[in-house]
Amino acid sequence: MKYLIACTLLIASLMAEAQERKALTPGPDRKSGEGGGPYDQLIIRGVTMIDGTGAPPTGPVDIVVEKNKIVSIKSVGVPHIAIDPAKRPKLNTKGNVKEIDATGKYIMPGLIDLHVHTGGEVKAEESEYVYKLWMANGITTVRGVPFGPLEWSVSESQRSARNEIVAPRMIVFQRMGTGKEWANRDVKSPEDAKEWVRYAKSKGVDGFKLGSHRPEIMKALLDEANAQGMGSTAHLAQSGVAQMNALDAARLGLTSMTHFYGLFESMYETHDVQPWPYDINYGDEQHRFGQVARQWNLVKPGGEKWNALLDEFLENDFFINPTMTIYSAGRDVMRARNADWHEKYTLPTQMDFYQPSRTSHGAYWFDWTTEDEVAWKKYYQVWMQFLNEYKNRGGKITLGSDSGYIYELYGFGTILELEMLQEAGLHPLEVIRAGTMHAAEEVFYPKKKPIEYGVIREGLLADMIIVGENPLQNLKVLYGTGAVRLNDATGKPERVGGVEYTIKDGIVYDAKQLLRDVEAMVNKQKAERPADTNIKKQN
Amino acid sequence: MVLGILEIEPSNQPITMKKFLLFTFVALPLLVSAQMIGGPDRKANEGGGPYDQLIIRGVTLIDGTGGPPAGPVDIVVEKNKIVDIVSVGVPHIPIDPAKRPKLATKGNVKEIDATGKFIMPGIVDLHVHTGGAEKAPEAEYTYKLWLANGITTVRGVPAGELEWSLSEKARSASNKIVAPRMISFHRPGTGKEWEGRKILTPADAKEWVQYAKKKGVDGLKLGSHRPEIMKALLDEANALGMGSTAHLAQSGVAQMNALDASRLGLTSMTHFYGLFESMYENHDVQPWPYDINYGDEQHRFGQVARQWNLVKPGGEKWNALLDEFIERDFYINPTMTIYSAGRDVMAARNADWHAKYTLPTQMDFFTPSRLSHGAYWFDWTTEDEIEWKRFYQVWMQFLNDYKNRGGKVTVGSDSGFIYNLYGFGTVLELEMLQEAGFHPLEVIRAATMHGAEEVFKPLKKPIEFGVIREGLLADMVIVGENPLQNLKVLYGTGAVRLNDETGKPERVGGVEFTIKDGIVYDAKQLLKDVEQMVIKQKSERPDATKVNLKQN
Repeated sequence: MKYLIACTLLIASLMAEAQERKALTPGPDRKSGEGGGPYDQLIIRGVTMIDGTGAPPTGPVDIVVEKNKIVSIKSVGVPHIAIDPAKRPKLNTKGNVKEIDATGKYIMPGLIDLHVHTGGEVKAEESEYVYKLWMANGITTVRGVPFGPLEWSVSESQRSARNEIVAPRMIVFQRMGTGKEWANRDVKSPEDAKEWVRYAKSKGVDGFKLGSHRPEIMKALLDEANAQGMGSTAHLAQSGVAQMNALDAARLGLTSMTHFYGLFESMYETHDVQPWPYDINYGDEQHRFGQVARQWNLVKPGGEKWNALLDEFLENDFFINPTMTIYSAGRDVMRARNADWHEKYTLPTQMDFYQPSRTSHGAYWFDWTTEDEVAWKKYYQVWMQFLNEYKNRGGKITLGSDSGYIYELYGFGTILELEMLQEAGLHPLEVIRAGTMHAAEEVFYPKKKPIEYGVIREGLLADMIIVGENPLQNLKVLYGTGAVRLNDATGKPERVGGVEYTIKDGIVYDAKQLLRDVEAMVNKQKAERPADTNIKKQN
Repeated sequence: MVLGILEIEPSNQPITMKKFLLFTFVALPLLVSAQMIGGPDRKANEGGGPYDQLIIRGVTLIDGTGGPPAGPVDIVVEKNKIVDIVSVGVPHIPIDPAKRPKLATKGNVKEIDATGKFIMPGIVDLHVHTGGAEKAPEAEYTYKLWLANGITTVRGVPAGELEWSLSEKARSASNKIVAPRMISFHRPGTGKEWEGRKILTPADAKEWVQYAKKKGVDGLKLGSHRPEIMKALLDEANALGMGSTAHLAQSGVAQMNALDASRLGLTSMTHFYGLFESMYENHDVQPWPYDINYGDEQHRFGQVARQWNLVKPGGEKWNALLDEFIERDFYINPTMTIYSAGRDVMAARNADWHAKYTLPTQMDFFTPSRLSHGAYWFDWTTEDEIEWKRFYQVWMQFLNDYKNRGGKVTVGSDSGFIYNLYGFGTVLELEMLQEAGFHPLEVIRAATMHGAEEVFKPLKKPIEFGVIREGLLADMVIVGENPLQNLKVLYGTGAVRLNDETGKPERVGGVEFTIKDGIVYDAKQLLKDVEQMVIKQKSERPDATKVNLKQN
């Protein structure tokens, strides 16, 4: 009985999330004006290409796409010399064909965000809102961990695969024990765990979002997942990390860790369990999210344990999916609350969800102080150093956002993750590789298949984004809101960049139009709700 | 923030027409500031006192020395002096009324019930400018923002034109205006009688210092002058008991870094210029990109951050510099706050306080422009912000190491540029000192006692304010929340806290009373006055002049 109560408490937040997603509305059928193609032939001309592998940009190139595949990438000249039209690929004279003049623009693989949720009734009821924010910020593949309930997620994933909805490619990861047929069952034994994995596989699930399950359950889940060619990622929650840290999980065959939970615990210098204050209550989210940052001085950067951990992760081909962005409000909550994009693109219901509250997940600003922010700043410095060293040794860091909580907005939070990866020490080319090729590798590695997207290469799927500015020079140009730049002709600052075209599976979406659609949804909700429910920026 | 004028002076040549044009261009912001409107006469309802007797009761005292908070105490003030601090009990036990100081039965007396509240010395901000016609034409606006954020002393470097500054200082000293105590520092060569003259020789420099002293100037705001001029200025200032602080601008730092200047007797350095250059591992002059143009402010403020990896924290030069600064009792007045937008310009641009308290003209001044000083967001990138984040890490480590060895770090803000608002920018400096590794008590000490020591050391006098101690001047702030627990409660806008009764977030804190020279100001009312000024300007200006960077 006591165990049951504890168990109930522990899953309370998960259940709250599940409930909040109950009424999630599927994406509406794609309308005829939404997205062009796929084309019998699409040629993107004169573009500078960042291929996603870490190679330097090169151009001008003409990229030929047929249906949803990249079939030819042709160098058509050198900078500062006029292109000889005779040497360019010719547009077919028949069929459904299209040319995009991308002269002076940049193209890169679409972003792959490996840690998303789709929102939910209280935050953002219509998944269209979330899908369009993702696409507008250059994301062409998302991994839901989970998107929502199992059956709903599988259905949306299939609809997206058939391009019936305007949405990125969707990879379905689910939490242990979910699914209609398991609604009244629990995973109580290793046998249950294996049975559930096979069940999930049969339902069309791609992989697993694990917690810090006890070792025998974790082992059973991972053994079966790996046997079935299914991927796994884990949020090694503090509630179970004492018996399942990142090193433990990597040794059991976990594909990737997400967030940071269990990382520091794998290399404490003089502790095993985190020395929590004695009044800690994990159910109090300011305790939960305030205390994790106080781990920064429990490890020794460059020390023996630190280096040994890096080495063993490398040996295990372990992927790290940090999602730094989702905690970033912790180091400066005013900044996150007042981010440029909220005004136009954040639904009032979503903004309400972010407001300090003991019951909204991630709204832990009960009394968030200078010291809390300073602790997070220090924590990031150590965490970033680890990530950068892992990258420098050949380890793979991948992109994930977890937006929809903690003042992070879908899509925008993903671009902030790119900025934070650069802050960690990754060169912008390494950042883009993390967001494209390496993320694709995390997806295909457990399937034991070569990647099908994530690099601009002949033979791969046509998932690409076109932006008018150079993202290496300033990653901010990838934000839907672009970057601020002074126009010396007018003497006025203006916004430049923002993705222009998001091409998913050969279909060309006008990214700016997607943002306008989002804006209209926000305006609609603002008009419909009573004014007094808004929480104002008060003194 | 030097307003540009100093970079020209070390050239020390007769002014050709071309130079004159350049000079005019660079000095533009300073000239504009000359049109500033002085504070209006203090109205009868602005501030209570000074009182024959004022008793602040039941308060928890943070004295500014680094001593832990203690309370409840009753603090007795007579006119503008603290005369008695009486411990009246211990926490959790009711206070015995018999043991409390009695309120005098005659004269102009007042009691403040500060039960459960905190009191600390008023903040001493050693690096301010008052604004100017283009940004904030009325000094009242700036003065009230300072006071509302708990600042009771400011050092203008300069506050404005020399004569204007001295006049405002005198008016503040006699409490004719609502303003903090003012210390008047000026740049060499300024003053009406020196118009048309330049400092060309060490003798000129000394003559100007004597002139400034006679005019009533308290000290010198120096640049990176060439060595012989710097020496003359400092020798004379020290001989006359005048203070000095220097912005060792990059234009002259190659021949005058912080170590050079401290050896010549400089009281304090402000900002960071010249600090890193004093301990480069492998360079003497910063290895600028070859297309550097100091007149391009994105070059200027972007490149300075690229020094973070030119020094070696904990290395031999680093430690030697700390040691030598300590030996000289050198003060460091970092003003980290003024550059903080560099590490996250969106955060600075969207700070909570702008909506209500930033004048539209001031906001326009902050907006990217090649002509507004500090508006260098021409094309500010992820990389620029990261360089600044790294620069801060190294700089903060130096400041913390200095503090840990006994060095004195003081508070300064330089607000009015770079998206930093008067008063609010000062509180942000406190937060950044905590980020640098200072305990909140060390932060408050920097802002109060150490700030005062920087003021009084060159005068060779003991401090007269900056600590809550019997015999000192009554410059204090009362706040309803504990600033050690959260420095954000000192912001005029307070700190966000969830109210568990209502389930709603609310703002708590914000200074309640700012007591300057024994006069008690309602800090919240001062903020309301500022808000009115902002509303008035908004209603008067045409909509079309607004720049909204939130536009997509």
